[in-house]
Amino acid sequence: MTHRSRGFTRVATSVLLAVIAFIFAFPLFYLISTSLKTKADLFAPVPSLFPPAPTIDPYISVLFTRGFGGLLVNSVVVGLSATVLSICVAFAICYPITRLPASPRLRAFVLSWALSLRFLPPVAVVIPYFAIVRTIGLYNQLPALILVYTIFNLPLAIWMLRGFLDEIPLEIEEAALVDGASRWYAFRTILLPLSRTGILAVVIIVFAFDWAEFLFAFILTATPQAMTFPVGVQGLVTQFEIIWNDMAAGAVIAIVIPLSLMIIARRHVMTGLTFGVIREK
Amino acid sequence: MKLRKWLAMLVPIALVASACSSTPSSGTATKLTIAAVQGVEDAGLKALAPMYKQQKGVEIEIVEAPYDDLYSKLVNAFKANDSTYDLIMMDDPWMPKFGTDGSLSDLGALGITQDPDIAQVVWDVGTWPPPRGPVPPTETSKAKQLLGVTIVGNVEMFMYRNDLTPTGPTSYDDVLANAKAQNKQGSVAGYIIRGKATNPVVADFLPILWSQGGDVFDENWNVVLDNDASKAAIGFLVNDLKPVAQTDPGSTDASDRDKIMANGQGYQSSVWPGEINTAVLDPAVTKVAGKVTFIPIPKGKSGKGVGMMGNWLLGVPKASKNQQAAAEFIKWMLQKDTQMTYAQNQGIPSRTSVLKDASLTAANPYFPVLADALQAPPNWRPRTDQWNAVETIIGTHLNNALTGGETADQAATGAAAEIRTLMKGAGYPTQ
Repeated sequence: MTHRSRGFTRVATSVLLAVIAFIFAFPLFYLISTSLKTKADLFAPVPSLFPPAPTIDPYISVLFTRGFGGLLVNSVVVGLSATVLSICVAFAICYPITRLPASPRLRAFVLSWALSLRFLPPVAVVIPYFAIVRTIGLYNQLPALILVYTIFNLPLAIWMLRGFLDEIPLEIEEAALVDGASRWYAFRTILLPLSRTGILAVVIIVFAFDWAEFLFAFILTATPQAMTFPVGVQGLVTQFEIIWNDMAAGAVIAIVIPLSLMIIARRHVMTGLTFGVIREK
Repeated sequence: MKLRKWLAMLVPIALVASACSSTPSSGTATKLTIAAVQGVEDAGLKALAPMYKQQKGVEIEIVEAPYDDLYSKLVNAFKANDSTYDLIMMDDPWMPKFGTDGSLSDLGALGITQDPDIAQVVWDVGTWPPPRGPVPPTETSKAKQLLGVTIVGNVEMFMYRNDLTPTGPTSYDDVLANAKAQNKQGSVAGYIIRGKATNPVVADFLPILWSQGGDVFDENWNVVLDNDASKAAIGFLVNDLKPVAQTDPGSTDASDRDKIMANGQGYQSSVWPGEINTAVLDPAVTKVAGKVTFIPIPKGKSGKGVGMMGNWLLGVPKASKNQQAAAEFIKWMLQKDTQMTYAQNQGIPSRTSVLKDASLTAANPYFPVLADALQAPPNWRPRTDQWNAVETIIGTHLNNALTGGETADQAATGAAAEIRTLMKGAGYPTQ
């Protein structure tokens, strides 16, 4: 390839990437712009790209006037609790199949079973879950969402964790066991610290799924005591009016937490998403 | 921070917060929880809540949900026999479903009696089985009960720009003639059609259908949507009004219509009281302040102008543990002084004397028209628990016709055939 054609390729690639970046970034830009507009701006015959007189009123409306701050707290509580539970259960399942002498058949069965849970579309199980939650008296309570989210995101946690645990050599733990350490001690002081990167990746990805979940939160809750943030934001589409600026403000708030986590830990997340994808032990 | 320390901190915090946040409501009469529709319809209710606490010592918690979500949430709550809600706001077409399912308490037994200052149709629409019109076959043997009381007196009306024509249309012939005269391509639509599929287009079309002499069912649940009068009404919407309407009427909903009208880009349309204050009369956004007049639905070929009810009612779920306290709140809401305060805070009252009170007319110029519309009386949508499905069928075909997917006649015959199949399958003596 000549120097000239290399230069052309570089320019073409840059232009292409710029176009792709624009396509991805524009909706986010317009969302933020809309969240800073007044109702009068939204009624303008020709919509403007930038808010003519930026205001934070929509954010105040969403967080305080409408009381969505409480829903935000619910989302955080549900997201964190379900994530922690998912990881604990996933560890309990992954540890034996990766660290103990389990038969390949058992290992394949457990992993296939976990995967099968994920194949169920949420809408197919929402009514049975509703019946169960109602029967055990958890309708309109946060623990119902925590349990359901845990069940639904467990397969993801299992498959990701299993990829990480497979990468940690058994010999390190065996050396500790030979030196007289108990299994729990070896798990706590060797395996857990070594799998920290994997756990962080799983936490962020599972939390992001829990955070964005809408269907179960909508069906299994009735009041703001248990509703989550996405349910509240969706409620801004009323019969006669769509409150676009408040909705956009709600969406920006909803994006901030998972996006921040993703930016802070993007290296770990990328590792988590690619670990074990092309290898099978 | 070490992972184990992080986890050790996180788990208890999450569980404690979860336990705190999920504490169920006390269920005592010191607090009533109302499931309400989110939007302008519950604005007055929200204004009254602190007053009730102050006067009666009972806290009112209003749980809002958007229109479609509220219906789903109520169905779920009733299925679960859940006592979360002490009172529910319901759109009047939901009454057949909740009445048939026996989800609501008889308000008559809880001491609520009819008041002559409130139009008879307001009591009738909250009564199940319906006191007039066809009754579903499964409901004919049931005793009539008052299951809901109107708190938003919503009847579809008509609006036009009084700065463009000094007098408004009195008939649909006038509507069409004015629309042709005022339609200016690209700047002013002669008529604004709310033509979005399913509920929106049906809500927009039924007053036209009824006023032109058509209907969906006759008195015996026979489908008449494909008779000559009904076909002519659909033809009027699709072949006459659409050419003088805004571009892309098939995707226009109420919020779009209000934006067009508030920006001065439309001449006339039907309108719900509930949407008037969100745009056309909102000084923050309207460009047509003082230029819009509200009138009853114009007369059609039937010789009448028939508005449609979209009343919002309050009912008491059978599962509520605060039945009597809930009924007392309804009684308090219906008092004249409460209704005055309600009207001053964006509520749409149902008392005739309040609707005609001169002190309220300046801020709510449509109130006297609404009072007359309630006395007319308006029609309600057919009282069947199959209405949602029927509405979806009609709304899909009408939208198809407005977007060029089928002709007006095809829409009429196609919808009628599907409704016949549906109703027969549901056990109705439909022909």
